[in-house]
Amino acid sequence: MTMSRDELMTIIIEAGTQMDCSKLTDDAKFEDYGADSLDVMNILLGVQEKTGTEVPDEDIQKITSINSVLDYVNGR
Amino acid sequence: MIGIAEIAVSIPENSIDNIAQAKGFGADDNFAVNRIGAATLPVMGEGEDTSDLAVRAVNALIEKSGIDRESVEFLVICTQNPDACGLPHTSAIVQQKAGLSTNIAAFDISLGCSGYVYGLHTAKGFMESAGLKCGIFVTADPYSKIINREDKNTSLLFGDAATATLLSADPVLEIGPARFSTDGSGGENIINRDGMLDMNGRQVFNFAILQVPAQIEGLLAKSETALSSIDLFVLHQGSKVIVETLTKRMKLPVDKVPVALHKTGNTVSSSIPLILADYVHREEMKKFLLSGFGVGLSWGSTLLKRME
Repeated sequence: MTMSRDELMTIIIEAGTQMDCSKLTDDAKFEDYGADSLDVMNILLGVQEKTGTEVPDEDIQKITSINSVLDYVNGR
Repeated sequence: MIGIAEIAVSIPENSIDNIAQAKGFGADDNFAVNRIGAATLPVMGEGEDTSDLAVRAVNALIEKSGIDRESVEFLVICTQNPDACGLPHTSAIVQQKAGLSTNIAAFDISLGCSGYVYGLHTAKGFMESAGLKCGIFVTADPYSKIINREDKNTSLLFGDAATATLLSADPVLEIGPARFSTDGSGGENIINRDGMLDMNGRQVFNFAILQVPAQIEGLLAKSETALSSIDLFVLHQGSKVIVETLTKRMKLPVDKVPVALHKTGNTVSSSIPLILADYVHREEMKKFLLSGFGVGLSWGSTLLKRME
């Protein structure tokens, strides 16, 4: 199942991360906006629930930004 | 009917500065205090063992409740880090060290963070079927025995503590109903490998966030209990982030879900009774929901209701 940017933003906001989502751009690194590993875990769990795509532990370092999540989930 | 009459706790005086420890791992104050949720982690003293923690909790309970040591007919200890690898069982060691009667049924149960919920029901069932009227349920699982201080995943998380719950035929809180679950396929996500704790924090987080709400909802439905009727949700204090994420996902009122690991960290099966101890005699608190989850993977949720 694919996911849109809006759907991902909803997941990120509902995850209640430490990031200021209003300033988050598509290529901005989550960590530069205050996210830590626990925030990324929380986002990926929401993505998994929404799309059924589970990012394996060995690929988690690829998840750094909005675009990287969309690329991973949508297989681009 | 057997239920809870009193709870006492024992927290070691020695502790680790978790903020300093986090800095050593390249993390900031925020990570230790606001994410893990623990500024200090108590650690049992040099030369102490699990039974010593347990005995202090038992003694605290006897002093707090005023019961006669000789009247204790039953002792069950929940631990996965027993004295001497569990042989003999720690409850037998505690019977002797605490000066309890030899006319006592004593055994250990092996469970981690779900242990308090499972243990309450184990104890209640055992005591009622055997016709016993006074028992003590101890939680004492000092993970300091198996923590690799170089491992950020576990070193920042766990603290040592013990609790003792008085189970009596003249209770304050009624136990049950409950729901229990087990999924051994996830067991390797929190495991003792060659004497050291190994944990996949992400998988444990996913397990907790996906499974616990469903179990709690199932328990409320099964017992025809409205979520709004619960006065306090006592969730296992796995980390501040886990408790807060569960609270948010289940849309629980924040003021009814204590986050209380600032001075203790995750104390495994002791985390729930450490909180509950402060509420046993709060008459205005009528109904509690407890949920423990972790090692196994194992999870259990139960209701407690104040006796009329």
